[in-house]
Amino acid sequence: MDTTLLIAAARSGDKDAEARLFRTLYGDLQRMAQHHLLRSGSDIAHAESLVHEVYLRMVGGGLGMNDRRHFFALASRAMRQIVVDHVRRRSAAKRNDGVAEIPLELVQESALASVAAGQDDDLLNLEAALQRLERIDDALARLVELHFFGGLGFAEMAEVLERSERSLKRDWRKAKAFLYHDLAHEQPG
Amino acid sequence: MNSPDEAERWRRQSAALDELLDLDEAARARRLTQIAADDPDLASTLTALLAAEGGQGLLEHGLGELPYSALKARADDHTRRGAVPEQIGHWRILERIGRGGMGEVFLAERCDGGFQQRAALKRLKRGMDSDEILQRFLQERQILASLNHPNIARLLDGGVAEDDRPYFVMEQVEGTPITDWARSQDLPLRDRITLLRKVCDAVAYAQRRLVVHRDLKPSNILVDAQGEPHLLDFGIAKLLGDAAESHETRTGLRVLSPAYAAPEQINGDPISTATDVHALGVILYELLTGQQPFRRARNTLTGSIDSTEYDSLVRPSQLLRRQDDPSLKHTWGSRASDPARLARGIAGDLDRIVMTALRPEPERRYGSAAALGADLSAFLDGRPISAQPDSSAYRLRKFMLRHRLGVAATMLALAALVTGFGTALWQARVAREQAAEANHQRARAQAQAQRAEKTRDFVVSLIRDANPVHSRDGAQTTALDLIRDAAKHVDALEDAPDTRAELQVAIGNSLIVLGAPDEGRSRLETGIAELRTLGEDAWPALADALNIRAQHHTVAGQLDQAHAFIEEALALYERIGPREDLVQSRISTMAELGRNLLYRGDLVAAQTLYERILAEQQALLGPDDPHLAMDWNNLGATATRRDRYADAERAYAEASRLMALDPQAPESRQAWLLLGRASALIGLGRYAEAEAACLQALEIAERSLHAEHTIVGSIRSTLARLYRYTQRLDEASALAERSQVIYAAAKSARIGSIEMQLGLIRLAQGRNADALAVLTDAEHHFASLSNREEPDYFLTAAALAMARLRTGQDDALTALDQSLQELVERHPEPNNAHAEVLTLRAEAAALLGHADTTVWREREIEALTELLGADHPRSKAARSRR
Repeated sequence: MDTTLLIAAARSGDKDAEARLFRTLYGDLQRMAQHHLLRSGSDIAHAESLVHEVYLRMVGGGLGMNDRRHFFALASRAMRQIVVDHVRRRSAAKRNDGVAEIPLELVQESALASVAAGQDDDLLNLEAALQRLERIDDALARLVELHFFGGLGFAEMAEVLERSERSLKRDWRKAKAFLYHDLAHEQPG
Repeated sequence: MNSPDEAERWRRQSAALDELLDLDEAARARRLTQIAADDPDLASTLTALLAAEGGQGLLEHGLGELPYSALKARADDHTRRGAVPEQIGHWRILERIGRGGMGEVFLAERCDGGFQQRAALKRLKRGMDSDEILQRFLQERQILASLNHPNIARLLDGGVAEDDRPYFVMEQVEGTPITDWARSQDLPLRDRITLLRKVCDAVAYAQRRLVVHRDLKPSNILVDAQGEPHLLDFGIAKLLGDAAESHETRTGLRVLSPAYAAPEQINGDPISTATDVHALGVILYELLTGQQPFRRARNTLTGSIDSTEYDSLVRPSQLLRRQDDPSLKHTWGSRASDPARLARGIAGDLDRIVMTALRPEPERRYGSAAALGADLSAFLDGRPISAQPDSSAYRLRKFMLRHRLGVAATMLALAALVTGFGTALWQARVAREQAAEANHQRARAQAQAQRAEKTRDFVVSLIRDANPVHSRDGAQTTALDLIRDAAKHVDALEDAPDTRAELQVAIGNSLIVLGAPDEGRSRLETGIAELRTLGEDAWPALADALNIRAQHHTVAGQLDQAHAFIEEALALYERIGPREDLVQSRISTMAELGRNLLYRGDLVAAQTLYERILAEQQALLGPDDPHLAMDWNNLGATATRRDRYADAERAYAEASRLMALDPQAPESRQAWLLLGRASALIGLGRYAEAEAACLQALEIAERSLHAEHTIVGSIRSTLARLYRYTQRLDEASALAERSQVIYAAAKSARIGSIEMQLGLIRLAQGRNADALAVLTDAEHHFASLSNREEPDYFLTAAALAMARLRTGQDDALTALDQSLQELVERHPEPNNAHAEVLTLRAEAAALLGHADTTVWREREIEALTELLGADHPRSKAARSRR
């Protein structure tokens, strides 16, 4: 099915279309990540938002505003899942170090990435806090997903969400206030 | 999880934040004050939120290259696992959701019309497609189809795919592995147990149909969003009593997870319903502690397992007590805030249930999942559980196999074994008693032989007795239970008053050592009173008992009482006259007198006594007997206190040499010797060696004893002193603080010295108010514990005066001078306290701008040079202050 149609179907509530869109997104995001890693090596911190790039690749910009919004929301959600799953598996591999079931590759990777261990914990704590935010203020949680996980800038979000940058920035600060406050109270140390 | 209230509260906070975030600081503060007038709670939360908003963290740093590495890992994974097939049998494959030992698992949906159904399709991997596996798989299919239970994933379909690989399709469960679920939901203890009981019920259901799961593990027990557990993969389940048992077991091994396998699975012994019980025990252990009980290498499955693994297993409650914050938090989330409460909830019944389920011998575990489930229910209802701990008799039997000695010595040794109690002096006493026991077995008189027989009978009765005791928590309580159990038997020994009295003493001693001081003291006193009525024959036992009593008084800081008992014991030995079989006991009492003198600060007398003991021991045992290590150690300790560091170092070196000759000597004793050596080296100015010795002692002590042992506190305090001399004040401060905590927790009579050290560090840091507080405590502790003769007492008093001076009490100079004068009167020889007090005095003069500052500086330099030599770093440092 054409991606544009898939997005439209997904937006209208077709669960199957949404699942397929999700899988397509995964695939594209993966290919792009590999491409980036090959091309720019360590210079990827400044690379364009992956989510934005996959959007251009998949639909080339010819999408109505509602569909775009849905697409970015979905892609950011996908990115969140991918990153959190990855970190979870990585820290699980670390906890079990070498004991059963964890593929050896992952163990080695985790050894290499031990520098990032603190960041891993931070991320999992943040994910937990974000889940708590989701329960009481879904819109704010979506914003965090778009900006933090999806890598969308404020200008881009303003366009897609049809809101002013100013109000988005204020919401971002509110989300930050909630999350850091929550982290300090739920996750001391 | 969040109540609507919480959402409502956030809405209010959110609205207020909208307003506040746009205001400048002053306006914000004004607005907050207004809000506070109305709703102080809201205002304080808002303040905290605004503070949090200004924070820096992951949200600012961003994900970095994490999305790239995450995606790359996924892609690599994808490549490694090969392509996902389009269709298998009548099932369309949607995605791969996992890969296990037996093959791959796909998410699939039925594609032959009819109803839309999603399922998990498991395809056996290549290389496993032998006829045998196929046979087993077909068998499994039948078994599974017969299982119909809400908590067991149903078998839907199965067959052989186009590529000849067998597959089967199971009900798909959206869920989280049971251990992750418990963690992510912050599940309280009761809910965790309830959840596992449900799992037990499901396993019991299958077991009633003669199906054993054999591969239970968290990834096979998924919990859905409603909190219902679902058992997956009765993958190697098979009918009990199958003829091809052994053969199939071996095949089955390859798919097992070592961490969850029962010993019989690894050793290739018969599988039974108790095999699943073991796995459930492992999962319960993990639910309680976040850790797997057995850390096995990946290749364990090719080896074998014996009972040593179980013997060294730490009970869940004990493990919780030992865990650090992050691990606790990881397992228990917000419930980790009160680990002691958690451990209390688990200690006792739950510990026992876990330990029973995990026993290496299948016949000593619960017989089935139903029996385990029944005990979990009993626990939840507060009814007595069926599991019994290893009876005291069982434990004692194991112990007796290793220690074929008299009962009294056995108990003392047991107490020493489980507590790592007290000083090396004490341990040496036990060791000597054991040696003596062996030596004079032959020389025993008729009466003693009879007594020994009584003793033996007593032990036999203990061993025969299968009556279990309910153990509470940890190794200590286990030993305590054992001793208390023994006490009951002792009370019944009416026809053997001498044995009874002696055992009362031994038991009393053990009870005190094991942390039941009141109970123990009363037993000890009863025993001594009984011994006093028994006349001359009981004198040796009485003298021994008095010595034991003295030791406990010494530990409690009651040096005068201790001294009285020692004198009485020594007088008894005098009246008994020389007896070969009592030499060791008498020497042990003399050593106790030495310790008493040492603690009083009567250093010269202590040294004379220790030298005498050493000479006697050398005459008795020869110069190379490992037992002499303790005597050298005592001499070393005395020499250190007398600031004769070269002598001390020689003594400790000799002690180490002798200890090394004894292969039986526990490693922990090295910590004492290293610490002694470190103190001597500090005195000699060999700081690098001293630091290395301290660090090594710390490593040994924390590993072979535990982190809260007072020796650990002593080592930290000594290292703190070294760092104070070398101006590494932050490290010194942290070490001394930790040391103070340890000594306070141990209620040690020696805490004054530790607080003094901390106080001197505080003074060096310029934290004068803190110094004043801790030194006040230190002086109080020294004064209340009748060790006011020690040089360190005067140093403490001088340091306290210094702290008072620094905090503006000018009249404290008089107190400082008085401390100095008293110190010089009581201890005229050069000593460290004297040098340190002079340092303080010179500083005081400088602080007050007195003209005689240089005079004091010169006296300080003189004292240090006389004590330590001109080349010692402290002498040099003093000269540089000139």
